[in-house]
Amino acid sequence: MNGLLFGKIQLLNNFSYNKGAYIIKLPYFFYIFFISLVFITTLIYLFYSEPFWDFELLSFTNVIKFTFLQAFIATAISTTLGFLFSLILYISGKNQKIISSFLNFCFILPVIFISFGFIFFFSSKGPVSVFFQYFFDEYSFRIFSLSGIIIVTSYFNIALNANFFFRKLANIPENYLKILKLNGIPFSKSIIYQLRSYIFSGYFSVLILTLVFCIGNFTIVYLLAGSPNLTTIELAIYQSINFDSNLKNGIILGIIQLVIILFFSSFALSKTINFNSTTSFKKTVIYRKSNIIFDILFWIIVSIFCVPFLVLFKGLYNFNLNSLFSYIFFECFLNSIFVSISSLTISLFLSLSSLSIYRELMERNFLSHKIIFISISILLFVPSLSLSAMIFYLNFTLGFLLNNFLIVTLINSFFITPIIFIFLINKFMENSKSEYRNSYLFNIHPLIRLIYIDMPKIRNELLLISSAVFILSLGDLTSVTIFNDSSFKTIPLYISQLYSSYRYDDAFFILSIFIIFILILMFIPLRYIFSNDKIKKIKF
Amino acid sequence: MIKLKKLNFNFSSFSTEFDVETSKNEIFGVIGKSGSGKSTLFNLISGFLKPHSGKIFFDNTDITNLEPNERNLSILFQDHNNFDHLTIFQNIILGIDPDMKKTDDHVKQVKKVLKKISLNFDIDTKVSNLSGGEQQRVSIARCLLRNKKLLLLDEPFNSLDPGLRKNLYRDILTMTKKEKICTLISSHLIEELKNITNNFFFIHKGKIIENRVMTYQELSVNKYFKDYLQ
Repeated sequence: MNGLLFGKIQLLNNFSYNKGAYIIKLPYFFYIFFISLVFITTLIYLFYSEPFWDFELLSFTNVIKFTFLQAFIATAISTTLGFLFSLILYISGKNQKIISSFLNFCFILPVIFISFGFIFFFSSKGPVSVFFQYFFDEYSFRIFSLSGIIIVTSYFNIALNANFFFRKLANIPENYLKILKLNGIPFSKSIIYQLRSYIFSGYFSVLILTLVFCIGNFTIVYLLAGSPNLTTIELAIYQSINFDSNLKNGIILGIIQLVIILFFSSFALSKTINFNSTTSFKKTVIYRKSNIIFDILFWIIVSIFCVPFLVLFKGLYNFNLNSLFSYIFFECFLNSIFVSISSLTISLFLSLSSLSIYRELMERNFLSHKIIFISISILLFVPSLSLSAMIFYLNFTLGFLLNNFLIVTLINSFFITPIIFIFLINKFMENSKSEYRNSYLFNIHPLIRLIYIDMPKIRNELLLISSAVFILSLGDLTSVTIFNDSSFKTIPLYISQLYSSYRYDDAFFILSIFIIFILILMFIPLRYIFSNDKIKKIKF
Repeated sequence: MIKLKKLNFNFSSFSTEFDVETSKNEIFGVIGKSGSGKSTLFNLISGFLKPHSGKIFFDNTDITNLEPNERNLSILFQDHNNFDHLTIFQNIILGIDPDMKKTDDHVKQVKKVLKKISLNFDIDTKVSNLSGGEQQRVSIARCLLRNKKLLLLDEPFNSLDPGLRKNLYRDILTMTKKEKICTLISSHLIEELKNITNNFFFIHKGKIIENRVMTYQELSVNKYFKDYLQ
């Protein structure tokens, strides 16, 4: 085995050094070229088109007002509940690793699933209505409203915030807790005085990220806005392109949204964004209270996060073999899979290429590595529909030969690349200095270093994040709402179209099958990772 | 004066039983291999672990069922003795005031105690800006301010330079003698412990050898101790 590996290394070492080094950098340069092309052509188009502005001021201000209203309310709720939930989950003393994985899992679930989950939960035949109508005859809750949008938006962001705070709490050094206990300081008091700045350090980036996610809210508003008044900028872009055929308004709205979001995200980018801070889940029992109140609170929180899953029962109850074996379902399913696989492949090449350049610049003490970091992580903040509007123009007005499949794949891969990049950066940079010295000393080619040193090092993390972003891409319902035709639809779009054509039972059934498929996809890599962690015993 | 009466604690396959009594308040060295039970002993005495059976007495008072803050003791660990994100003042004053209020009286007390340990820094300096030795001095200052009669030092200076360790041990020695504090120091640097005390507990597989305090001379003929030195 070692001989084979050595042979491979020899083979690659004979490969022209420069050629190999450029191959690693190519995906990043392609990305920079494409993004620059999109922005430059958009600006040229806006500069030469007349009139520059033909948007109704009243509806524009309404859109801006609603975007910020729902974003601020959802951010406030997510922060407050996220913090409270994390405290309860921490104090309840249940398995920390499982809780953290559960919160991560809730965050990456498809938006369409959570939205339909809540639509069913609050519908006239849903569990809430059935329960309250028993006591109050005329009870009804309108999910297609601002409240509905905020509930679903908060679901994701509570998971994001709670996970951040939970990891912080789980990482409190045990000796800190001992000092507090020794000095008779209750945990509630220590959170205000001694631990506040520890728990909230680094939170600013997460807060901005939450706000940016809420401002760039599209899918939830697209599915739950009950009236034209409930329109965010993202939805207005979609309406401008798809219904008003006014591409320019869409692009201008996209640029306005981009400026707003970049303004907020500039605060976050000045801080370190770190989603993969190493958390060592310890068995600290100080301050953990395994009492009935915390047990009840724990299960209430878990139940809240499990609410959308009730739709699975409804969906599977309406089991319909015909809709499962229909041609359109099969076509949508294959499209979804191909888009996700292609997006994942492109984003893996792009993120590994960016990481390699980032590390190379850092190892050589060039400050420009920060430019690489910003140029990639900024994509996390760019709203999908804003970019879609610009690519729409590039594609159709300038006559580019990109089809919908390629466009959706490219947009998806641009959005999942920063997630992979930020998730892997810590592990990728591990032992960077000593590896660099050894690579230099033994004249190891960068491509060899990437394949034989880096890949085994980041294997588990890579597998985990790949499965997460694959699922994110699979459940995406943003750019595909603009770039679709009769031959190109994905499963989320198909489900939303089934629902809007009043075929509720079929929509819930297809959704349930889709989610079960996603759940299976989620657990396969976990099984593999955990089996890798086990120490293999050799029998003699 | 500390007395451990058949103090038993079990976790997974490891069990400890400590049975020992000291005659007066002075410095005691606690030595033993890694995993022998030194930290368990400290956690039991300080109340972070509850014993399955047995009693702990300090100055003839049964403290077995008391909460850590109700026991008349202070403890120093190898790391994280201070909240890095807080200032020198806040880290010291939390020993007597959880709200860490900056009253004139508190400032005066903190400055006085800092003078005692020769730490000349602005009290509003963040602890993270201090060196390892200075940080440990801040935690010693908190112990001084708390003015407790039992001090547990769980390998507190092992990660510091030898010169720095010598100075800190000197500080501890002065403080212990002046305030008549009973001090238990756990360390694997026996040569350094020898310079400040000749009273040792040697722990082997969860038990104190011979269930008594031993001098270095007595220890040096013990077969387990010889193994330990090798």
